[in-house]
Amino acid sequence: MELKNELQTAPSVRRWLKNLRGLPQQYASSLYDWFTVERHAVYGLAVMRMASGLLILGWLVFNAPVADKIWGPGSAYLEPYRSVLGYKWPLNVLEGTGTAFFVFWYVVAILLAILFTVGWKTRFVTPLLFVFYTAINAQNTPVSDGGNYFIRIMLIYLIFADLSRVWSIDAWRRNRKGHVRRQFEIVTVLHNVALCLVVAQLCLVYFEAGMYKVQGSLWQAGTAMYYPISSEYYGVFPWLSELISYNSWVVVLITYVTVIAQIAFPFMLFHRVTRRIALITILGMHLGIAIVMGLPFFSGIMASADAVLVSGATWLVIQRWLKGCWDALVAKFGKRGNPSPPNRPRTSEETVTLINH
Amino acid sequence: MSRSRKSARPLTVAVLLISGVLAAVHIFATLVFTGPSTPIKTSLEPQLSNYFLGPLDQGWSLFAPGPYSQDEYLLVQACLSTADVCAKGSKGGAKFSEWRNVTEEEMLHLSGNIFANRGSKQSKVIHGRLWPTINDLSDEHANEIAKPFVLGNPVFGYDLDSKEAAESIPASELQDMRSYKRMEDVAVGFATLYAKEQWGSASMVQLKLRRDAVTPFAQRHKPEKERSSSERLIGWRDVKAFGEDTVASWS
Repeated sequence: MELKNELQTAPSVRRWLKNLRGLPQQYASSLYDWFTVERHAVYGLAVMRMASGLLILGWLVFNAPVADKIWGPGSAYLEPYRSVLGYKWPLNVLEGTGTAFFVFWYVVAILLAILFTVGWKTRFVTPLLFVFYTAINAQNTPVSDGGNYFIRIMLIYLIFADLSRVWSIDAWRRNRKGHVRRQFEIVTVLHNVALCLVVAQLCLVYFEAGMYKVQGSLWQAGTAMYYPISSEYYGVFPWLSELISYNSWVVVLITYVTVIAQIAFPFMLFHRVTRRIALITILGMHLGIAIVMGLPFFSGIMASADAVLVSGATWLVIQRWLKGCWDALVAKFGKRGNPSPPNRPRTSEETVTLINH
Repeated sequence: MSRSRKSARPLTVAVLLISGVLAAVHIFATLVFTGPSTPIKTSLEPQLSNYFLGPLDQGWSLFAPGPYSQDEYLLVQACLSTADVCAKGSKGGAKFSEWRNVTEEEMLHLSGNIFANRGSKQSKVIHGRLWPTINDLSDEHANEIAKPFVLGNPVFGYDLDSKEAAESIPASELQDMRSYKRMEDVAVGFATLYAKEQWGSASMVQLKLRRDAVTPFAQRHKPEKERSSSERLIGWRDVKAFGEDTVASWS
C-alpha cells in the first residue's frame, strides 16, 4: 500500500506531461486576452506620433526652399531611375506634374503633419499623411536617408493603431464632451498587431544593422566609427570628429558598443532592467549620430519609435515632471498661470496604466 | 489588469489569426529581404523583390559591412556652343566651361549645419549610385564610357533595348549595361540642369566621378598632404531635354 502511494506521488514524465496538458490552452487564452482586452502602449504611441509628426513637419519645412527642385518638377532628371522603383498610384501622382500642383501637394503634406502631431482625426489623417509624404519621397528616393525609409514603413503600420487615445486633440475633445468611446474588439486587435509590427520592425532594423557590421573588417578592428566622421560629408563638425577620434580607446569603445547594442537590442527587451539599459544606450547612439554625423532626422525618427518601448507609467511620470518644470517656470517669471494642483486626481486611463505597470 | 474573456468571438479570432499570420509573414519576409544573400533569399526571388518594390523598399546595412570611408565628388564640364560646333572641339571654335566640383559647392551649406536641406546631397547620391554600376561593367565597356557619344549616337554604340543588343551581348552583361545606362542618364540629366542653371545654356556635358579616401586610422595624426584618389570619366554626352517647369525649378 505504501509502495503504491509512493509510486503515485513520485515524479514521472507522464505526470509532468499530464500537468502540462492545460498549458497550451492557458497560453492561447492569455494571448487572446493580450490582443483583445486593451490597447497597449497608448502613451508610447502618442509620444511616437508627436515626435515623428514634428520631425516630418520639420523636415518638410527645412526643405521647403529647395523642395521644387529636389522633389518637384526639378527632379525630372531622375525619371530613368524612378521608373523601375515600382511606385504606383497614388504614390506616383507627382511624376510629370507642374509646379502649382506640387506646391499644393507639399502644403497639404505640411498641414497633415501638423494634424498628425496634435492628434486630430488620426484614423483619417494617418493614411493621408502616408500617401502625401510617400509621394513626395518617391520623386527622389536617392536623396532619402534611413529616417525617410523608416517612417514611411512605420506610417503603414500606424494606420492600424489608435494614435489619439491620449495626449491628442481627439482625446481632449472626448474628455470635454464627457464622451466614453466605444471600443470595438476587432479594432483593438488591429491596434495591438500594429504595435507588434512597430516593435518587430525596430528590432529588425537594429539587429540587421548590427549583423552587417560584424561582417566588416573595420568594424571588427574597432576603427569603423572613425571613417565616416572623418569624411567631408558626415564630419559636419571637423573639430568634434577630430576630438572624438583622437584617442584610439574611445574609437574602439564607441565602435564596439554600437555593434553590441544593435545586435543585443531585441534580446534586451525581455527584462525591465536590460530594456532600460538598451534604450539608454541606443538613445545615446542616436544623439551622437544626430550631432556628430549631422543626421538629426534619421536619429530622431528612430528614437521616436523607441518611445513605444517605454511604459505608460514612465511616460506619466515624465509628463508630471515636465508639468512641474513648466509650472515652476511660470511661477518664477511671475506670469499669470493656473498651475494644476500637484495631487490632481488621475483619469481612469492613467490609473489603469499605472496599475498595469 | 487583465480581464479575461468568457468566450472568444469567432470574428475576433478570425481577425486575430489572419492579421497575426500576415504580420508574421511580412516580418519574416522583411528579415530575409534586408538580410545578406542566403539560400532562403535566393529561393524566394523574384517574388521577394517584387513584394518590396515601392513603399516597402528598405535596406538596413547602415555603414556596413564597410563604413563610408571616402569623399565622393561629382564634377561637371559643359560645352556652351551649339552641338555642331561642340562636336568639332576647341579647334573648331567650341566654347567650354571650366570643370566644376558640384558636390563641393553643394556641401558648402553642410559644414557646421546639422539642419542643412537635402539640396546639399544631390550630386553625392548620384555619384553613390553611378559608381557601383561602372564597377559592374566589363573592362572593355568600362573603358568605353570615357569616349564621347554625341549627336544622337547611343552609348556603347547600341540601343540597349534593341533586338540587336539582345542577340549580340550576353544577358547578364546586357543587364549590367542597362543598369549603368539608367544611372548615366540620371547623371547627364542632372548635369544638364546644372549647366543650364550655371551657364544659361549648354549642348553637351561631361562628368567626372572622384573618390578621395579618408586618411587611414593609423595615420590620422600625420595625414599625408595628398589623399589617395580614384577617378572615372564619363565622356561628352548630348544634354537632355526637359520641360519648362523643370528648367524653371533650377533657375
